[in-house]
Amino acid sequence: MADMDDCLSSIEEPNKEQVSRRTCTKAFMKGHAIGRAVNLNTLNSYDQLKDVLEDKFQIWGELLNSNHKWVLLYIDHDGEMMIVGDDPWLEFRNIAKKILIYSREEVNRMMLPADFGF
Amino acid sequence: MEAIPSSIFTLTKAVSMHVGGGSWSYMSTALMAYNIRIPDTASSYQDSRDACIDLGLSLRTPFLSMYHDNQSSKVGWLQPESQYGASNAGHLMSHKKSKGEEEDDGDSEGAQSKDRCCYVKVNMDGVPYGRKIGVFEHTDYWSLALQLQAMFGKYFGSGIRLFDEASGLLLIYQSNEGGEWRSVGDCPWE
Repeated sequence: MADMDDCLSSIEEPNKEQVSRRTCTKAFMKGHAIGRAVNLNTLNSYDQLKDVLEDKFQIWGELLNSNHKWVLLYIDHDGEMMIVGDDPWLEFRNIAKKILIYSREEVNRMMLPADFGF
Repeated sequence: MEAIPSSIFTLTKAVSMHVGGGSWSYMSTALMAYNIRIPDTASSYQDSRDACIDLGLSLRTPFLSMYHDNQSSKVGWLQPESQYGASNAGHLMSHKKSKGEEEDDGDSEGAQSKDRCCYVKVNMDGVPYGRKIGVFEHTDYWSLALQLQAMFGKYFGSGIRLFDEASGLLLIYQSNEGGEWRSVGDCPWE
């Protein structure tokens, strides 16, 4: 479930052609049962995105500063999870299908031990 | 900068990332290691292998159809940097091509558009999320390796040490064409 603030529609259409008309991107924070919808088209930068997410999830000041408490990730159209911020903003806006906010601890728990022979 | 030693690294690609219920597993394929020598001069690409460095990273490129005219014909290469130039390093991706671009096997048109941005995914074994790098922002393998080291080195106490054969990391690149594993360093950076 996600709120509909500032969104024409936050529902993903199964029809491929209609996906492009989706105006909102769902954002979820680990541990929160309810997700939020963010209209990326109204934002112009990653900082603005973080500002909106801080407001929606009531974590003011915790994304924009660099305390690394949270890890901001997104799911792209390939279904792969990538870190938010590496892509040029406008590219990100088009390819981000879902936004995820994980705590640093949660991300560390997801790390798998790799056998590098160390 | 100190001359790059005659070290070899290969690029590998983790096959897929399984997503389910909040837990993530990250699997690697069996590695097709193409040992490549990182040239320390622009003119020498034929020297024998000196050492092998394994870097558990994967690199995938959205551009497949361009073939370097004097290199192996089996490999599709990124657009020559000269076609984009440093000025396009921050260039935005064409919106029309934004979706599924990195899985687009036969789209040669997009590769030739100057509006295309070469941000490729980089995934590392054991790390649940991937990163993006702008390949055309780099001038050579060394600079690429430095960025990768900056991105992923924190997961190892002593850093990735891309040019250290004792690091035990393998870097493999997979071409979109037929999913063949490639070694980006097989050919000159251009």
